[in-house]
Amino acid sequence: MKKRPFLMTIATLMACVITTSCGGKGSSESKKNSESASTSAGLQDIVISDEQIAQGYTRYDVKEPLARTTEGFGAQFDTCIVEAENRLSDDEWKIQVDALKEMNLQNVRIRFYPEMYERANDNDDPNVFDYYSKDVDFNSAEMNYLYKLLDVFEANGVKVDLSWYGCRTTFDSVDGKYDGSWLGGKYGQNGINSWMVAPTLTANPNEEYAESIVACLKYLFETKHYTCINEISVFPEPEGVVGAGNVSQLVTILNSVKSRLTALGLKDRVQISGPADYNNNSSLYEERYLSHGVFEKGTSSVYPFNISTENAVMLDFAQLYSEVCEKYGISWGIAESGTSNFLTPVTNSDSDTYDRALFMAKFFTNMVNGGCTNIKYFVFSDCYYDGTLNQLGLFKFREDGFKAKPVWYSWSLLCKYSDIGSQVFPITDSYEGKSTDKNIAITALKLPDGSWTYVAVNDSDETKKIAIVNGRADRAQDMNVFRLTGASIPEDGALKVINSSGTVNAKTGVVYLTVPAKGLVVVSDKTV
Amino acid sequence: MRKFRFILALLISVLTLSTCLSFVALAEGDEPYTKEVAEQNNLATNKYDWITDNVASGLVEIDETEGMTFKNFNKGSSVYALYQTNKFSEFAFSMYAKLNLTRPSELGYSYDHDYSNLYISFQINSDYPIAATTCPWNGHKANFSICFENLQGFTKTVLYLNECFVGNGANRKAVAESNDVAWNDGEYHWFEFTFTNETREEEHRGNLREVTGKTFKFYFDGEPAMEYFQRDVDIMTTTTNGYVDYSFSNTSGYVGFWPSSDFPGGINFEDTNCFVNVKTVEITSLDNGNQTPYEKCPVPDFPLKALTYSPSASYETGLDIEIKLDQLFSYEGDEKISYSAKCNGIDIGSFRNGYWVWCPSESGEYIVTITATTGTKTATNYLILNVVDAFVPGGNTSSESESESVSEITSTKKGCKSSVGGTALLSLLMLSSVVILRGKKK
Repeated sequence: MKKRPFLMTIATLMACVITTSCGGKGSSESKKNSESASTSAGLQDIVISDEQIAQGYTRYDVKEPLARTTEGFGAQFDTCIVEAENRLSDDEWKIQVDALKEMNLQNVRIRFYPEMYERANDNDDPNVFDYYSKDVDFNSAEMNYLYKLLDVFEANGVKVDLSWYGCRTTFDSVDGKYDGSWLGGKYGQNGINSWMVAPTLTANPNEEYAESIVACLKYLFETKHYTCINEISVFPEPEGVVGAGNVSQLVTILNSVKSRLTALGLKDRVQISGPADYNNNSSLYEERYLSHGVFEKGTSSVYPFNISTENAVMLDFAQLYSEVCEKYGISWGIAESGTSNFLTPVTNSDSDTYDRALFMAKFFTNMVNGGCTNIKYFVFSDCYYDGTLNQLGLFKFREDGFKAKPVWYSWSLLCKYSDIGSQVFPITDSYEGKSTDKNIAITALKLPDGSWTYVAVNDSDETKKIAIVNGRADRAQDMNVFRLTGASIPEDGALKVINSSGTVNAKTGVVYLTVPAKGLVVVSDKTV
Repeated sequence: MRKFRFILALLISVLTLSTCLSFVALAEGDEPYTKEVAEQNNLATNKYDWITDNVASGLVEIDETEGMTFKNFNKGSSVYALYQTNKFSEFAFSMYAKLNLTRPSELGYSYDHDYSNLYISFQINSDYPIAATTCPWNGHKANFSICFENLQGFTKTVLYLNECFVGNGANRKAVAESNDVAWNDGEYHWFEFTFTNETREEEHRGNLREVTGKTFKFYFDGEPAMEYFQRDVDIMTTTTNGYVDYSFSNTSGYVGFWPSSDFPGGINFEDTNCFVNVKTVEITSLDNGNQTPYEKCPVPDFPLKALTYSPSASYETGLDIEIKLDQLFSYEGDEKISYSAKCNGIDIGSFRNGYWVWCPSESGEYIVTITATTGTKTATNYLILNVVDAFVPGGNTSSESESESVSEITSTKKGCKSSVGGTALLSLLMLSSVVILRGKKK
């Protein structure tokens, strides 16, 4: 051990030599940077040659960042959880709130519809909203469910996509006064066989719908003073609401919403996202939706994959969607996601498995490497949705002690060690080439606070030894290591992010990691 | 006086006797209907004859004495049970059961229609048994269902023709019904029906014709309660909006149970006392002239098998080896499996989350014997694990990388639970030596 100062001196000298003399990939840029870049920690840009990588480790470079920064990783979080049918006690609500704080939940989508506040038409004029109408109630039980969520999100910096799903034909107001939708009709009557439909009633259904959205936003912004709502969406998965052949109705409503918000000076407060399509076809996506130029943020519902899906397939999917959105100058994100292993709309065969945990890590890595800026997992926690137990949550419901599922441990780890506004430095941004390992997905994020997070997912049965190379002057120094495997999932189901298993020193610009078979490794110097 | 007393006593005796006789006669006349079901024919007490499925808290318990008990069926939870051992075309079905079907409004819960019910679906025409197909619109396989329903306080018995035969079980027609079968009195009753082939003569466009089909006859406590004939031709369906032919006569299928209610999700048996208990089920296939009831199927002999598993070419010291136990053994039975792992007769590693986990601290070849035991069965898997010294990167980048590498491995060691972990410190020192040696070579 006495030799260490000697070794460090040699190494420092070598690093200087390398910095000034090495060529190869990325060297010229690094050199350029090294002239001016020297962090407060005294680190400089360095270039690391292949020869410098230890034998047995595969080199993976932290490449140049993507143009867009991340817009949040989170979950669908609906008012159902606080509705009467779930009978949540204060302590049980605290479990939910503590969990979202623990995992650094960054963004959510909330299912919403006009009947919650505009319970019948305010008046016949879609251009003058009557806040004092007897049928308008921003203090309804349903709105108080929303406020209960928004208050928590506001306090914890969680960004909200308030999503007007459509007209709720099965609406049955808590006070028992309103049944069905004044804009969409009542389920079971006049051939209405869907719980959520597009507006069809009144003289100007589209304008009435737009008026209702904007009136509500105005109230939420100016009366309730919420700043957490930064995104709105309308009719997610629109084929199921307006039908594939009637997207123009959605476009009409969105354009009206946009112009109304602009007129009120509120447009800068929110982006209009959508369409949250589920077609998994980027060409159709462009033709059917983006070409109308109405969306300011592209979104999709993504469920075609599971743990068996190849990395390359997921990456390709993300790249195609991101590219098509870039044509329109907008980002692409995932409004809701999970696996393809559906048994029913609210149960999956893999819900309680480690496979799902590993899948979400693999999915995350390929999506962000492919240009996706935001992902919402469906759904935050198990609870009853309109009488049916939704079992797709990150953790279980009361009967099972609100215990974490394996997917909690991967998704919470990824959320905890990322932040809105992170730069994405793709590492495995291609799986082409014979020598490319198709079973490992790696990405790097530089967070707004300057910290770095590396994510590596190995979906093979063999351990992988990787060297993540990042010679930038602003690289991390000491990084915490978090490892997740099937055997390491905490047996107590605690709603905690897993503990670090140790640290690695990243000062040299190379982080050597052993990624276990079917394992996730996250390293980060983010201070939490 | 004595004579008078005698006469009076005689009269009283005669009166008393005659009254007693009439009581007996009354009792004999009202003696509950019963049917002898031999124990070996009582399918309700043999869980191996049934395939079950549930959603959320839906539950069916199959007990060797109490039979089948269905609980927790509500808007959020479902439960299904299908007799999986045989399928048949013509058959007789006998069930002794209590249908304690309460409904939401009785107990102050919200509801859509205010009901609970039990479906017995039959002629479930699938290639293999699937429990959820007892609901006609799950898989669209069940051509018929008899439904016992407490709907808004009315005790209804309805025979449905489900349009599964044209692919849409959600479309169904009540083809026979009765409001007079008093099964919802909190008592056990006999529910029996037969489903047999028949040829009938019927008028068709002014002419008589012979049509084949199936006759359904339902008996409640031994009394005929419902009858329906379903012909094989000219069946009007709303699915096709026209007439179709379908040979119910020649179709075989499974039979099974599906209880449901519109109690809110999460409102379970403890709150509702809504349940169905089936004490006996006897099924007799009448195909090919058979009259012998099915016997319970034997307890399947679920083998416990060791699977072929190929370990990695090598493992490194200081890193957990995790091997999923279901990659080592297969077992479909419901006995609890316990595991052990030994190397040279000494316990090695630990079991966690369905994995065997071991963190080797010394290189070498380890022959690990992992044994799975159910109590009656044992299987063993032998693993030859080649453990090599962890390779410590360094030398070519900078001296810092050495400490980084050591740091990573050191960290990993913290999580080791090796049974030979006592050498971990020595191993760490050795690794450090390797690092120093590599540094010197450089």
